[in-house]
Amino acid sequence: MTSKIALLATLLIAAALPGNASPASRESVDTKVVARVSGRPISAQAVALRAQVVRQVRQIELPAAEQEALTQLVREESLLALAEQEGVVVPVDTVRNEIAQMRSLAETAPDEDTQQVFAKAAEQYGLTAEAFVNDPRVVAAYQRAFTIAEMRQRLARRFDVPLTDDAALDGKIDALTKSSGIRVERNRQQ
Amino acid sequence: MSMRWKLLLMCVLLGAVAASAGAATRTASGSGTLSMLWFGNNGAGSFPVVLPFVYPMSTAVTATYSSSYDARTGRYNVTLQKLDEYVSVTNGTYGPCQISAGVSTNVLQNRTTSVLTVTRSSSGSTRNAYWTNPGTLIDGFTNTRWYTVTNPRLQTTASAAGYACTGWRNLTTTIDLP
Repeated sequence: MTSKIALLATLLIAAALPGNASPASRESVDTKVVARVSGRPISAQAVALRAQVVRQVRQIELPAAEQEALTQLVREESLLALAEQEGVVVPVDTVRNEIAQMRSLAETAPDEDTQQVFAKAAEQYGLTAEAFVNDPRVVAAYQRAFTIAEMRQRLARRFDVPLTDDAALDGKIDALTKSSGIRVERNRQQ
Repeated sequence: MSMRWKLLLMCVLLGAVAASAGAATRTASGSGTLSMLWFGNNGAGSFPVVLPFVYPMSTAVTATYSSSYDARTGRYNVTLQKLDEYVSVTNGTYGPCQISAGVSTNVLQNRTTSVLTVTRSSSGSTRNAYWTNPGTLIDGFTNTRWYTVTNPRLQTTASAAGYACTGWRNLTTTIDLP
C-alpha cells in the first residue's frame, strides 16, 4: 500500500508541476479560476489536484470528489481571510523550525518512501531538499498551511467544539465566514 | 463423602488445572512515521507547491488469553479478549492534514490464515491525535471457539490517513499467544 501511495504522490507532484521549469516560471502556469474568497483565487488546477486526493482517501467518485475538493479549498481560503482579519500569523521562524523537525523525522524514518519524501518533492523543481525547504516560496506555502491549522485550533477553542468533530467545526467556520463579511464567489460555469 | 470420592474429585480438579494454560496478559506495540503530501501555494503569486508533512505514529494492543485442553477431542478451548488498543499520531504544532485512524484486529489460526476480523475506527484533527478502544471484546472467540492449534496469533493493524492530504500508513503489531 505504501508504494502505491508513493506512486500516487509522485504522479500528483508531476501533475502539479509540469515540465522542468524553475519555480519562478511556474507562477503563471495555472490561471483558470473557479472561485474567489475575498478576491483570493482558487484555480481549477488546485481543485483537480485536491479532488484526486479526496478520491483516494475517501473512496468516492470524481464528481463528488471535485465538489468536496472545492468545499475544502474554499474553507481553507476562508480561514486565511479570517486569520488576516484577526491578525493571526504563524511566524516564519516557527515555520522553519516545524519544517526542520519534519525533515529530520522523515530522514530518520525506517522506510525509504518517508526518507525520500522531501527529496522527491524538491526533485520536481530541480532542487535539493536543502534548497527546497529554504526557498522563500516554499516557506510561504508552509506558512499558509500552518495558518489554516492554527485558525482551526483557535476557532475550535472559541466555539468550544472538539477538534475531532470536523463536521461541527466546519459548520462553525462556514457560519463565521458569512458573518464576517468574507465574500465567497463560485464560478457557476465550472 | 467417602475418602475414595474425595480422592477422585481431587484428581479431576488437579487434571483441570494442569490442562489449563491460565489467563495471560499479552502486549505488543509498534511505531513509525506518517508521511503525507498537501497541495498548497504561496498566496501572492499562487506558486503551486506540494508540501510534505511527516508525523510520528505509534500503536499498541493489550489482550488476555487463556486456553484449556480437551483430551477427549484433542482440541483447545480458547478465550481471548482484547483489553485495549490505540493509535497515536503527533500531528505537529500545526498541521493542515486532519487525520483519521482506525485499528483492525485479526485472529489468525496460524501464521497466515485469519479466522476473525474486528475493526474500530475514529477520526480527529487534534495536535496529538489519540484513539483508543478499551475493552473491545472479541466475542466470537470468547468461550465459544475451539481451536485445534495451541498458539493462535492476534494481529492488529493501525491505519492513519490525512483528510485533504495524500498518504496513509499502516502499523502492524502481532501478539504470539502461548
